[in-house]
Amino acid sequence: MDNPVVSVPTGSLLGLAAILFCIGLYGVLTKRNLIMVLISLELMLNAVNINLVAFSRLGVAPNLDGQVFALFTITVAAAEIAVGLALVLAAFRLRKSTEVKDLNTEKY
Amino acid sequence: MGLSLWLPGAPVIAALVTLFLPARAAGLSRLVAGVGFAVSLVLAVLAWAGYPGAGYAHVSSFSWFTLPNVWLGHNLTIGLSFGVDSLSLPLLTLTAVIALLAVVGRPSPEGRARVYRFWQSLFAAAILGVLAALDLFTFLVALELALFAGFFLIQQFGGPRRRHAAYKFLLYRGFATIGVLAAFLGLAYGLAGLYYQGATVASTPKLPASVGSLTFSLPTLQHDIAHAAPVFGGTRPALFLVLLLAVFIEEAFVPFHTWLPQAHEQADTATNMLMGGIMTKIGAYILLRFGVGMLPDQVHRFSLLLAVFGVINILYGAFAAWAADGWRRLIAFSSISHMGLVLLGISAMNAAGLQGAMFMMVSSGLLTALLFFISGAIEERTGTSQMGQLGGLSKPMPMLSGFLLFAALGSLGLPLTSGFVSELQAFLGAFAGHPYLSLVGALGLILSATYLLYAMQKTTFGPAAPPAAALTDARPVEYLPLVVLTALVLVVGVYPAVIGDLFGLSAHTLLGIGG
Amino acid sequence: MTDWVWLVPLWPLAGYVFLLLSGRRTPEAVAAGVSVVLTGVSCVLSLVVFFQLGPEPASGETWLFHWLTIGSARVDVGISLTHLNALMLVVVSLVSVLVLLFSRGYMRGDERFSVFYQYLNLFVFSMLGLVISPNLLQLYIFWEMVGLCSYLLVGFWYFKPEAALAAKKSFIVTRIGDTGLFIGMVLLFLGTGGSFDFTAIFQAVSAHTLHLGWMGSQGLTTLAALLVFLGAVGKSAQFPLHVWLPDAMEGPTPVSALIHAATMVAAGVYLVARMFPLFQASPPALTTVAWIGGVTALLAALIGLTQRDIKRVIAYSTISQLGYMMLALGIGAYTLGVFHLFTHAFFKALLFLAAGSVIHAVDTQDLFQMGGLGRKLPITRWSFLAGALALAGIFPFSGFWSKDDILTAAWQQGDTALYWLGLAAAFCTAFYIFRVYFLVFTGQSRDEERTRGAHEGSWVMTVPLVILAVLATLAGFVNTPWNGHALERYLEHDATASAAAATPVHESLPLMVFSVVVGLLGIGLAYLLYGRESAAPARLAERFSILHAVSFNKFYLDEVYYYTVVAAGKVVARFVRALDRYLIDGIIEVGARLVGVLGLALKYTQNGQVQAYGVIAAFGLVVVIVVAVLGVGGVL
Repeated sequence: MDNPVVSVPTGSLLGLAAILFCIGLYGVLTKRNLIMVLISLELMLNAVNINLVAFSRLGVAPNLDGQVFALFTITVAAAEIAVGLALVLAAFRLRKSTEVKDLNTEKY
Repeated sequence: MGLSLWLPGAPVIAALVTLFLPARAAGLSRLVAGVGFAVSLVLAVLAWAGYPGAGYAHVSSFSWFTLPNVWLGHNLTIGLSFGVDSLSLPLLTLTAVIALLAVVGRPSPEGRARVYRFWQSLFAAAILGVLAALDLFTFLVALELALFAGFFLIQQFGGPRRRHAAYKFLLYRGFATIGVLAAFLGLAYGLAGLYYQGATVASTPKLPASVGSLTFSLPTLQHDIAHAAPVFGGTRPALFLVLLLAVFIEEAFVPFHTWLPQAHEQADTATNMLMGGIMTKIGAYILLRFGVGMLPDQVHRFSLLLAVFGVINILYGAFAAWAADGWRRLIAFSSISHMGLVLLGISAMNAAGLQGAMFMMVSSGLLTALLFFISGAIEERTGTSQMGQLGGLSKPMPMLSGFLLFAALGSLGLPLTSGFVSELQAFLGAFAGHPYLSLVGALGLILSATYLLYAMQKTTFGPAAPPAAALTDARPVEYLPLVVLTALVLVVGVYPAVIGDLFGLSAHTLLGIGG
Repeated sequence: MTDWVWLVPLWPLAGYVFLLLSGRRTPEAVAAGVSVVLTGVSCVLSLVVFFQLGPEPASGETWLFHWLTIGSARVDVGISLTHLNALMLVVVSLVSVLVLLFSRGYMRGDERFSVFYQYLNLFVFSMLGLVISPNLLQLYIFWEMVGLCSYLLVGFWYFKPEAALAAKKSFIVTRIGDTGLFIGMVLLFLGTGGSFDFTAIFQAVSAHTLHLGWMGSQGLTTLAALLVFLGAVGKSAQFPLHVWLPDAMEGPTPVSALIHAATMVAAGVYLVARMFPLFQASPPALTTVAWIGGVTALLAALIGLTQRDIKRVIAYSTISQLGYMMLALGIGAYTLGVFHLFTHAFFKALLFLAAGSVIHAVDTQDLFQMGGLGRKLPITRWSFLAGALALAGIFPFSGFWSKDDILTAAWQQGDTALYWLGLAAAFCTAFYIFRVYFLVFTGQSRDEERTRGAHEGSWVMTVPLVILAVLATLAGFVNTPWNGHALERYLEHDATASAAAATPVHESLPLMVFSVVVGLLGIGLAYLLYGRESAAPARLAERFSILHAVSFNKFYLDEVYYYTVVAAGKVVARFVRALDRYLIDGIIEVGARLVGVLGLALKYTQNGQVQAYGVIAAFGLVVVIVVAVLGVGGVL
């Protein structure tokens, strides 16, 4: 490889992504506050982005498709966080709370 | 394009029309439903008159859509296909007659005429559809429709425990439908798969061209399976047993029967006529059409099983009818007993047995409908159908009692009624196949006389029960079902060749496929 | 003229249809008049056919119409005329006309008068159809039809609970026999390779080609013969299925005379006679027939000794006489059995109609409420006496000729046990029928209230009595040594009978005298006990109280059947009901409940917390991956 930039092994990238994903998943499943849940969700999305970029180098014909997808995901994530925060705001106005346990109206 | 589409089509249109009528227009919705069935009846008679004497006739087919690459590159065309043959013609006519008489003879429930007629039309149309279906898909759609329409008829218009009965009806028959579906898929995919079993097919030189392409068409499948019999081997017993289980549930055979007496105890009279008269014959129809017609070797193989179950049903039904307190339960179990004889007749796999089974389907249909109609009329007047609370009805209602006696005698197989012709042929076949079991089954002849005459003695004979004075005999409009059903029972009994020739033809056709 | 025989059953059918359509408001005179005239036409036609039938020994002429094709076997209905059939036509139509006439008086004022005639017409049609059937199937059809008419007529007074029970019992008990006949018929159809025709069956029997896969010719012949005989046992009220006939006396008395004495109950005898070649081919079957007949003759006669109800006494005598006929057929004396059927039809119809006349006059059936009626009912008295003498077998009344021939035949064939059975029955018969005679017609009235106003009915009731009395007296002369046994020779023209004629009966004067003496002894004993006021009967009953109780209670057979067969049936029915409700439906219900409970439990996992769902999903994914890696060996 004659690339001047220091080459990071793919395994490390995937490991980073997995760690990020697990942290995100843990946050989504355990945090009581909706804001924290949304932030954890962002972590998981970024883990996916790292995966996409890492894999774009590999394959029979390496190309930029993965990186394009990562950009796309960032865009969607921005939209998603906007909608998500709007929903949290609406829920807060309704319930005076952003606690997850106060939003279990779909019970049974 | 043949007229068969309109056999179920006319009542479906009638059902749709009733939806646009005013909710409380009882007379109008009854008229529309009646016209629908009348059209079906006329068409059935026309189809009968114009039947060429062999194969499927008056076929109407529509393809709806094609699923590409369903399985191993095969396309599957889904559509509706209807037609009649010598097996289905008398049953279709019977269905149309009973449905029409149920509409004419019984009024709509108070204030809910529209909904009632909608489901009633749909229910009978679905049964017509099942009988006329020439395509597995069509068959299943109609079967499901009958299931739901029947469910709503019981659940909306039944007696005090109607919800319980309706759910039981739905679950049992739903299970049966799954069995039918599984067997159908097995048949269709099994035949299509033959094409890929290169080695075995190579050893069977004259496989029809259609073998190997996935189809749901009944005539094609029947044709193919006859030729592919030697290669389509291992899965046949499993397929047959699945089908048989579905038939047993559908037909309310012991021990899968408890839904039937409960449904009959709760449903209203017209629904009972339709259920007891025709719906309970569908299982036997499936067994004849798909069991005997497509897997005859398996019917031979499990012949003993069928015969044993047949005898069990004859006796169990008879004893349970003997112990019944009310007419509804008695009629339900006597119908189960009849269908046991159908099974015994089929198990023999000879022309007499099959012919007897087909006769019994028609005869039991006519007599069950007649019995339910009369017991419903009695219940309407006295407020009960419990034998212990009735008595001496001959005095206040001589005509209804007379018809009830006739129906009971027909049901116990008195000669010159359709019941006798059916029993005679079924036993002629059965004794040739399973003599010792048939001997046990013949006890049913004595038992049926016992339970029916016990019930008659308690109901119409003896001193009149207290409220008898105010009771009225049959109304003019009620004479039509009474007279027509009685006449049909007599016609079949006195001159059975009217349907015997057609049934003889289908028995030979079915056996011919068996080789 | 024999070509017109198909018209014979149609006249009563026309009567039935007429009365069915004209409804229950039809005037009595019209209903009775139409029925009598139409059946009278049948009767005349039958007589013409009877006398014109030529001597060809063929099995007669047959007319056939296609009825149904079963498998590949064509089944026909039609008409077959043999000498036996011609005789039966005459017997049935003649007795029918007289009974129809008698009923005009007996049933006067009944609110269902025309319905009664409607049923009777249907019966006459069915009975005539039965005796001219060319095949077993058609015979069976009419066999059941006459059973139906019997059911309807026994239960005619449906509001009486006893009548309702008797009607049901008569149908169910005969149905047991009919099921035997049905199975026999099915086996014969299969055994002959697809035919119900009498001729085809007889050919197969004689050629030993009757067979099924699981049974050879001889075995099948015996089995079929016994099954057919079971049908005859039920219909002809032979032991052990005789219990229905006495109860059937709940019907109107003309019905008892026509159906339960002269015609329908004799159908069993006719059936055995018609199927005689089948029975001849099987010695065990013949022996069974003979012994059942002999036992029935004596058993019923013993029961008849002590009954209090006038109609029941005569009913038991009917059972007993039918036993004689079976005995005759069983020992191979085909023509004698038919001869006795012939004479019995007249004298037994006579006895019943005379009893009907008595009942009509005093409105009771209890013998011990009657007495001294001979002066008030002279015609009834003398005609009853003629019938009683014929039944007792006293020379020269008709019963003497036929009964004596049967006993002689039994003696001469060496069946001495059967002979003594028959003779003992004859003694009892003479005793009990004259017990009735003395109790009813002689002495003093035991119930002045009832007998005071007693008087003869109108001419419609007395004329049939007189005609039948003449017939009961003279009918025996159609078959005497002096005219060379004319009836026997007539019947022997039939192919079915010619084989049986191999053993002719030689009249034997000592035997004749002996049996008449036995009959006279019975009459004498009846006179001693009942001819005058005496305490002897009561003392005897006291002395032999057990025997008296056994006879009076009909050997307790009703009770035995009730507590064994009927009770067992009811127990099984209850068991099935319990099984149905608690086991089969119970399992289903419990299964449904379990599913419901499971659903109740699982709903608590649905707590609305997305995070909880997420945890479950994540762990699920882990489990799937672990299974995939460890179990299947790779994720991809």
